[in-house]
Amino acid sequence: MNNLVRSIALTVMFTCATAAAEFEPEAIGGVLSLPAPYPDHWAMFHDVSFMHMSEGEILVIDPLADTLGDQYKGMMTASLIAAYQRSRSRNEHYVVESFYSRGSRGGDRTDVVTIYDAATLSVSAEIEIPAKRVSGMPKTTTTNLLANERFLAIYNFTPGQSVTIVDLQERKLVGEYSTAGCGLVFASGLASANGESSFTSICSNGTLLTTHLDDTGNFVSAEKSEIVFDANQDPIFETPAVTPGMLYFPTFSGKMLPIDVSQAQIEVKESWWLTEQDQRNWRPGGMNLVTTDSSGVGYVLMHSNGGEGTHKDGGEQVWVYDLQAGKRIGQITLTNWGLSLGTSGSGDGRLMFVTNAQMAVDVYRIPGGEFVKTLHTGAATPFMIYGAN
Amino acid sequence: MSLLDRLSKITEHTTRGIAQRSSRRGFVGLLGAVLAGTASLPLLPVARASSATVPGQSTGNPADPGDPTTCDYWRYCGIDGFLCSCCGGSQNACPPGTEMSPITWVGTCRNPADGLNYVISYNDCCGKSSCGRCLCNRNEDDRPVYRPAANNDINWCIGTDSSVYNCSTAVILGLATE
Repeated sequence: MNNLVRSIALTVMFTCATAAAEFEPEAIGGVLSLPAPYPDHWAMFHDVSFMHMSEGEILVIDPLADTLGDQYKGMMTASLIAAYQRSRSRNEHYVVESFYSRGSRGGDRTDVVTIYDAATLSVSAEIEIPAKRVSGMPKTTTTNLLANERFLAIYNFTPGQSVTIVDLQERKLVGEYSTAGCGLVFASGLASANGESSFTSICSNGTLLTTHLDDTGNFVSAEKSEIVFDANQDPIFETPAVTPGMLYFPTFSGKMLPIDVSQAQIEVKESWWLTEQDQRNWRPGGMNLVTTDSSGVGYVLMHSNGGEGTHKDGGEQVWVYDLQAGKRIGQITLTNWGLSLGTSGSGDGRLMFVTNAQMAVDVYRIPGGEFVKTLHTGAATPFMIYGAN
Repeated sequence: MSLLDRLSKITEHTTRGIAQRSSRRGFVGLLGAVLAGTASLPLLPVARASSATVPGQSTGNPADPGDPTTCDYWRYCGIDGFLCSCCGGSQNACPPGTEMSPITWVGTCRNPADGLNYVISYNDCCGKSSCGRCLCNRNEDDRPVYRPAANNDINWCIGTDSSVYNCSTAVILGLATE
């Protein structure tokens, strides 16, 4: 027996000695960080976690990496179908989210803007806002950055309608301004001088409400436009294609309504058809159904045999547009039925992301539309995708 | 090919792929998860998948025809969410322990039994997390979020103790006037 014990002890010692020879001791507590800025082809996938809404996530993804480990770079939490924005100049992410003191059961509600350092993905600040932010399917126009990313505007719906302004530079709540009868928020007055800014909301009767702020984000004035679209028969979608100083809103029937937001007084331009006369049964549809790439080329998710009630159906094709010319320049037949669009990258490295009907994300090179791969990131419901560029 | 046919083909394609690797029950659960929250997708394929595992049901009222656990039930022409009929509630009542939102949007649906249009109130049930069963999204007369009285993308758990969404009902308010 003693020999047996001695033999085992010698074996263990030999094994340990062998291990010590092959491995350096490793540090406990290692945490990785990300490059600043991110490579411009990276993207943020917003998994709203529709089956467990208090557990939403925003994933940082390298879509061109070959391995699962290299694709998934990190994650931020995003509670109760959060809204998302990011600042390139400050290298920050902004997650507008809600919490209940007793979780899904209720209790006290707290809404906050959570600020993440983009390199560490750790929370660098939290700004409490009125617990009124709109709750529902995500849209790019539930929040927007104003005044060269100084202010964050957040749409509220209680069902009273208003917009909260947060000063991201000073890390504080500025105020809340009524937008009665009008919803959502997009930046306007982009060329305003002296730090002044403005935002515009879409009104239920087809008008637009523009609210002007001073250089500290305080209310100055507001004015409504004439009726610029038919809110009942042919409404504009909530989400526009965005190029510098211009927004392009698709309509249910397949027109595009351009709005010049470069000046304090917005200017609505003449609408144009996305489709030819003999293609009117092709309609835009989906969640984030329209987007632009970093070169300003427009992409619209389209489906055939469209009509009343098909405006969220997604599509089998993405049509490509020179937005300024109002002209279609390409047509991409998707590998899988698409529901939501995003882009990243620049130059020859531009990518389009399509959340497909299986809730995976298809990657294409654009503007040509060459299929690259399908990404399975673990996101159950990646409804929104935002490029890092 | 209609949209429904196309989506059915997607479903069939997915079915074939996944059925090779999992049980039927597992597939139905996965399909529910896959389509969950795709508020953009008509969810009739899900209803079909679900109905393959349990018998269909009816209201028991010939004047109110159809199966309230399926997406093609007539009252659901503008609904967007998990059907409360599959979640412990019914087509017009919330599951135990939840709270019905007092305000919401209303749509108009045609009752095939009498050919008349009825005003339907799509009240959400609130205070527990997503039911996760029988997701259904139909968008007849739905309009964008900036027209809230005609929009089903908004979480209508408003005016309730919790804005956490559980499922959706379709309550008849009365005959629609032309």
